[in-house]
Amino acid sequence: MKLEEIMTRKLEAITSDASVYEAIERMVDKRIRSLLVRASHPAELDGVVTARDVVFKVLAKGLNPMKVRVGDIACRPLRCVPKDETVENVAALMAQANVARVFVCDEGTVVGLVALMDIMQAALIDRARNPHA
Amino acid sequence: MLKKFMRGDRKEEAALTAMHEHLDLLCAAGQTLTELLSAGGKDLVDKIFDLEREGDTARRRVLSIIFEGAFLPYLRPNLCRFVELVDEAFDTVEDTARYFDLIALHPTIAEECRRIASFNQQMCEILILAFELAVRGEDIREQVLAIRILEKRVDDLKGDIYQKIHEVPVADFWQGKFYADFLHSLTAFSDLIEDASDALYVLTVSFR
Repeated sequence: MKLEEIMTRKLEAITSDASVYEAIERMVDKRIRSLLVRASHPAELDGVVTARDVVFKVLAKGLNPMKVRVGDIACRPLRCVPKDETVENVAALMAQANVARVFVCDEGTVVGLVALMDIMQAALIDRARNPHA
Repeated sequence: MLKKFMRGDRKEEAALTAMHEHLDLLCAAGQTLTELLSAGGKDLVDKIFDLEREGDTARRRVLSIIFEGAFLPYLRPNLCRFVELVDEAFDTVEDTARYFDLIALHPTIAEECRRIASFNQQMCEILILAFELAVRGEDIREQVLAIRILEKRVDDLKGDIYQKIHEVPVADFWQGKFYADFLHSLTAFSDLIEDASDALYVLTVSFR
């Protein structure tokens, strides 16, 4: 399967100046585990904040999520892959980098997101289509 | 596995061949619909109508063979149910083509509609594969799961479409109704294929 077929195109983003509490609200409301973090000023890069970041860097440390800036816990830079990359290579990259998601980029613009669940589903569909492979 | 429970006469072979033909026609219709949503063209609409009629002929042939006494009696209701579900899916493809011909697919939702048609086509191909494996006595659990995954993807796209549908301008009530009917039939296909794969799986499980 092509990456374009399995990637999530509807991306939820949050500005880096927003509070972690707002990020939690957004993730819970949309039932997602990560948000694209848009830089608030030119010196900053875009990043990603995940539920793992929220729990390990804020909640587990007893910090007040309303007082922590999303930009301060986001992971940067974004891990991007081209949209014509193979699913197998993306899976290998994720394994090597120990990340649960990568962004799909086209000419410098983020166009989608591929997560572990997407890779698993693509593998299952591929197995179903080639039963004796 | 299905062949194991046949009584060895040609009626059952003929029924299975007709069922495979029915599925082949459905796949061809699905592929034509994918092309139609990308390229348009009255000839493709007509082709789908023709395929649906051929599908009806194949369905009648299967059912008449079954009613003539093919297969053990306890298998017949489930086999008929499978065939009827495939036929209902065929009807949704025909309806989708008909309504597409009556609307102008708005760019706001065009990409999602094309992706749904592509997923529908993939589901159909996997269903044929599942049928072939079931006839040979092999496990079809992976195929059923793959169909379920694709059906969930169609549901997600359906949700995206209905969030954006308000941006699509409609001139009058009837255009709005045709749009709604188009989207309904386009998205109903995946539900029916999922039901058909479940019916096929129940058939294979009941043989164990």
